[in-house]
Amino acid sequence: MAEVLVVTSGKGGVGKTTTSASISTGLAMRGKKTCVIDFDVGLRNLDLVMGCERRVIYDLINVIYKEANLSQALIKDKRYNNLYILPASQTKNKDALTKEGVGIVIDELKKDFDYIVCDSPAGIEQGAEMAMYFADKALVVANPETSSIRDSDRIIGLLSSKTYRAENDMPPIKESLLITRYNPSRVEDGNMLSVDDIKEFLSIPLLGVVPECQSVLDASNTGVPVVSNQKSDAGQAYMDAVNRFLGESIPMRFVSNEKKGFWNILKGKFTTSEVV
Amino acid sequence: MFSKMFSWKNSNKGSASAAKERLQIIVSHQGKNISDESDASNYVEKLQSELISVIAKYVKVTEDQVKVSLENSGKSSVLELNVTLPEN
Repeated sequence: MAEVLVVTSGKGGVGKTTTSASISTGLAMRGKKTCVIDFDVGLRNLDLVMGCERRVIYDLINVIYKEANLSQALIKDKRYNNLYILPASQTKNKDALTKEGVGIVIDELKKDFDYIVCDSPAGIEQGAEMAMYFADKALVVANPETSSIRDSDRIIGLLSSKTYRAENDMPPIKESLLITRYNPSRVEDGNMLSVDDIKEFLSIPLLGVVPECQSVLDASNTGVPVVSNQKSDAGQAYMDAVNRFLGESIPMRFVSNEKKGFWNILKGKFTTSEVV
Repeated sequence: MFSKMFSWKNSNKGSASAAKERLQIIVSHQGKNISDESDASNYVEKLQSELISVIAKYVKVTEDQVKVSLENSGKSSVLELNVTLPEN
């Protein structure tokens, strides 16, 4: 049975597209037939992050308005043959997304795919609403930062009211939290909200923590989702999140400052001697 | 002595604590039990039935004499308990 996952956050720039690219690629790496849809009509970027920007011919809006078939618009990933990308239109705006149209496209995809990942645009308007409307599960992406957490809180409210499941008295969307751009050493210094703080504010289960990492920028520079780089911390953190999403129980990594610099070693020594 | 030198790192005086305080005022999903997936109205129901049994130990009340309601008003939630005591 196909499952629809929306990657959402309210706030822009927290890592929705990076996350959509890595979660969908990770699912494909785990053998799941996956389609990732860009709902950011007018400001499409998923194609860039997935490295297929030069292969876009038709898009989601063309399919909705029957200017192209779904199979014409779907782009097959270069690296994983069970991964497909459905790009957004660059010229239209988000009002071109209709509930009926999106519903037909998702129903059609459900016949063929194990997972349909919906990359939501920022905001709470039509685009974001359409991305979440048909979801079975939601991944709320948040940065350890006040404005991101308030917006996530708002989005969690919308997930339980303005979606198909909510409107039709079905079991609610299963929400989970992904914290990105986490910096354990700043948390230890008391200058960044901790994982526990954020969990307490948003009260949804935690799927993963992705540390702030140069490899994320490298990945979008080259158009290869960061999850493919299993040497990087962020890549490993995303793969952990994918595995947890598929039901495995894996301890959280990258939540504490493991790399010991000179001063930390010194500090460790003093703390130990003090305890004794 | 050294602990004093380094303990500032662990004290809660960084900007994160200011962020926490400010968020506590504006975030509405705070404090809900993560493991408990039932919604607020479910726990209000349970709370009501447990309150009735506790109150009934001391005062003779029936179910309709104890009213519990939870109201969310953006910034805060108000839990209202209304007990009608029998006349005697």
